Amino acid sequence: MANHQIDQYIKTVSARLKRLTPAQRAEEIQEIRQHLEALIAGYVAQGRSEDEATGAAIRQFGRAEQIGRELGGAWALRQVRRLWPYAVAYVSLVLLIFGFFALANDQPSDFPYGWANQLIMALVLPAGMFSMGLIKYLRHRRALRRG
Amino acid sequence: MAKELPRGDVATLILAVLANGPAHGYAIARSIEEKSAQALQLREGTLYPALRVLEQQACIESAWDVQERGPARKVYTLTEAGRSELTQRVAAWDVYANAIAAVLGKGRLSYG
Repeated sequence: MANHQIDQYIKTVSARLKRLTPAQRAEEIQEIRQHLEALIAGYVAQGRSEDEATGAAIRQFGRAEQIGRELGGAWALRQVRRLWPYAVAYVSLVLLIFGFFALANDQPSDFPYGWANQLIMALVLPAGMFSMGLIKYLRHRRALRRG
Repeated sequence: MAKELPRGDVATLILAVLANGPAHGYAIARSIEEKSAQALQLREGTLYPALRVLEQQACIESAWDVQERGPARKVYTLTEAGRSELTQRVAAWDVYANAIAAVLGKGRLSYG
């Protein structure tokens, strides 16, 4: 069904889904297009013109800008949730390493001495371990985005 | 008078519809419209963000259903986790609705 209004609608939603891979975006778009086309078919069956039917279908579906934003938000939430375990692992490692340093350099009389350096080391070391994973992940994402 | 649905309620209604069997997005919207006798106004596009969140929570699963005629459609199915989530939501809703009804009921009597 060639429908300029629908194409424009899809384009606006799509612009809000830039963070998705092409395959994920294509699935979302296909679903939305099918839904809109089904609504239009229903209104046309009731005797409305194609133009009127499209307008009514879009009103019933919601403004493209808003729907796109909500859908993009739902996906962003999904990505954050996927990264959550890594964040927990990082913080645990930092605490573990910091604890190790604190014990290894145990000098109760001047405990605060050098704690800042130890904390920096504890933050940097796991970051180094994670950076390889992060680079891999970013490359993977870029490859997916290119399709 | 049609009432716009709050976001959390959309998710609950989706779970309730899927408890009757798998369905695609358009069918979920029609089912909500039909059962509420058009009293609940749903911006149907909001179904999809809610579906994504429910998928993420493993309450539902989706798969493309290839049809003999016409294009493939994405069909959603309730999982066991989704079924127990629905049970909890229905119980919480009952408590809420009964409490409101109890207060409103007393109010109405005094107006009568």
